[in-house]
Amino acid sequence: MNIAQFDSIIHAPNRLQICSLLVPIEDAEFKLIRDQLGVSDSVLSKHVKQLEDAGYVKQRKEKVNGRQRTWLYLTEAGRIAFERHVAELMRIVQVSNL
Amino acid sequence: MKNNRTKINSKEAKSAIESIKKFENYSLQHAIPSPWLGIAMSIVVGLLVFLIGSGLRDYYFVPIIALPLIIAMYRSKMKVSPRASTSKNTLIVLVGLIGLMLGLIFAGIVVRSFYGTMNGPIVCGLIATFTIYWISIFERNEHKNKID
Repeated sequence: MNIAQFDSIIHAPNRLQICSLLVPIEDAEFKLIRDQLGVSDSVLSKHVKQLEDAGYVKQRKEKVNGRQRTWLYLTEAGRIAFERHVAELMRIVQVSNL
Repeated sequence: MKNNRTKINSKEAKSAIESIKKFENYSLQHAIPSPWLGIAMSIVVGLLVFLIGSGLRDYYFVPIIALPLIIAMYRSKMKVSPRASTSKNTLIVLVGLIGLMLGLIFAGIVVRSFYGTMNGPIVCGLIATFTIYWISIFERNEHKNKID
């Protein structure tokens, strides 16, 4: 059962965008997320750290053609938290439409 | 630093939902498999079916080496990994596909053995090629349909 629940960690604009990028896929490269958000490496790392501390996102690193690549993915807890947050946003919109 | 706001107005909620949709679509766009992957895989699989059916053992190594190379190259270029489907239907399709490829190889071998012609393996290879290509097109369309 999906309980609507506002999540202040996810709701911050950049973190909401990170979760939105990750939710429909398995994982995404750090650089792709950075470019789409239009932020620097350090800004993205800061937000990723906050999501990691909450247990919502994890990183994995792999070497491809001699270069280190970093991938981010949503954990199960992250997906659930995001779904609940979206449900709460939809509830707020529906209530205002009544 | 945590943001402790728990109350937002409907305008902000609407804006957040629009942002979510926009970024989800961007991700899904990147997750669409390349058409070249489908073409390359279908040619390699068709070639493998043809070579085994025709008994040309000296050339087996070509598709056997090409397949992982193609996958590795594609993987190195990808910036997004689509979610793998673990549904029952996907497993059924996969098993059916393997069965079909084995059946085509067997048919090619039988035709070549009985009639001494390469036409059987060639036709079986072409059927394998078109089948894999059609599946790749289907897969791309499935991904595109997820995008709003």
